[in-house]
Amino acid sequence: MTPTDTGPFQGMVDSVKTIPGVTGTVVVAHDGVVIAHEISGNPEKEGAVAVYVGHAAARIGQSLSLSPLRWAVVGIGQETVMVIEQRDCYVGLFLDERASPAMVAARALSALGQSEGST
Amino acid sequence: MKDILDEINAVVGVRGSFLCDEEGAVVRSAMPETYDPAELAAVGRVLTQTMAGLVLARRRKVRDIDLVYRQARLVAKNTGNGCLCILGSPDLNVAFLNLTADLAIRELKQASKQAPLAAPAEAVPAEVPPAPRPAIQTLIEFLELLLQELEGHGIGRQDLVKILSHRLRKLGESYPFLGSLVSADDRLDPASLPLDSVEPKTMAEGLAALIHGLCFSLRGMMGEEKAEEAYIGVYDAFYAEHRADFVTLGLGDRLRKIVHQPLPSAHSGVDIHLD
Repeated sequence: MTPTDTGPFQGMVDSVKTIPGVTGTVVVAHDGVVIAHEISGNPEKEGAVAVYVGHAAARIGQSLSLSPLRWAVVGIGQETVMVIEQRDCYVGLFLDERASPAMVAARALSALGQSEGST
Repeated sequence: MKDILDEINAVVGVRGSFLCDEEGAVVRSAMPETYDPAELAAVGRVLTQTMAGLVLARRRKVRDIDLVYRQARLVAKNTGNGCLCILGSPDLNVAFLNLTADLAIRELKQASKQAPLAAPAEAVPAEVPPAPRPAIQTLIEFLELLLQELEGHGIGRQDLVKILSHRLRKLGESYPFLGSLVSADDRLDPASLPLDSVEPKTMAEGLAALIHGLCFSLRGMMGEEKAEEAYIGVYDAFYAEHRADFVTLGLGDRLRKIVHQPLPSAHSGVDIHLD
């Protein structure tokens, strides 16, 4: 895959952005580079949240032998951000304040090709 | 305090819980013995560091972090001076857990007001309890967050310091005690404020005037709309978290409006021009 080949990542954005309750989406590589997004704010700033939480979840999972991570949610101020880890990247979903993280996660995992019962 | 953890552990689906201080050290634990304390300490450090990092990145308080793994779920709730970590089954009902956990956090905050969070067993207890954090520190913190937000808008730290220094010169006659607020390394230095000799409300008036002056300069640099958007974005979230301190300092919600207001003639005059 070339550095400019963002097609698959844009596909991830497209597959989750219409889930009810999702107000923005960012796909960010494990090193923090934003690969694709559909977000009104600053994608670099929003992507940093996804990477931060994703890395923390991975380290904690390792420490307590809990891996693999299915999804993570962080509440910051009035915002709620969901992070789903993929093979090459993290997908950050910005949720409406009335969205159910569990429902969004179920739909997002399905849309990203990770069914509830398999990872 | 152990009782509080026991109450949480009684919630259906909870396997154990522990409490960390702001450094991430485990200060209380009601976890199954199969979990090594060193592992819990590592988890505590990661969680508190992550919360601190997110606050820096987003200038908002982190409420909680919920990590859902295939075989377990870890919920970390911000207690204000650390975090409460709850390990449960993946299908743990978080809404139900919150009923107990939020109550527990309130009790923890009450307890920490009466006595600082207990130190880890191996630590030597401090002989003198720490002094309460002065409310004025909150205002300095707000100013620092505002500066960081403006840096995010592409205004360099050095330029911001130039603006602040310019404004401090204008305010020198009315509020001379603010003179050394900006240190040589371009940081805000709360230690420079003579907290013992100047009334907190007078100090707050001076800082409010400085923030007002900063807003005035920013409106000229960024345009009114962008400056107001940046300022209000930081102010609203910060005020929601620290309202009590603003009220204590006699400011109430007055600082929200200053971004729209002209400067008093004594503090205005020709504005600074940056290269």
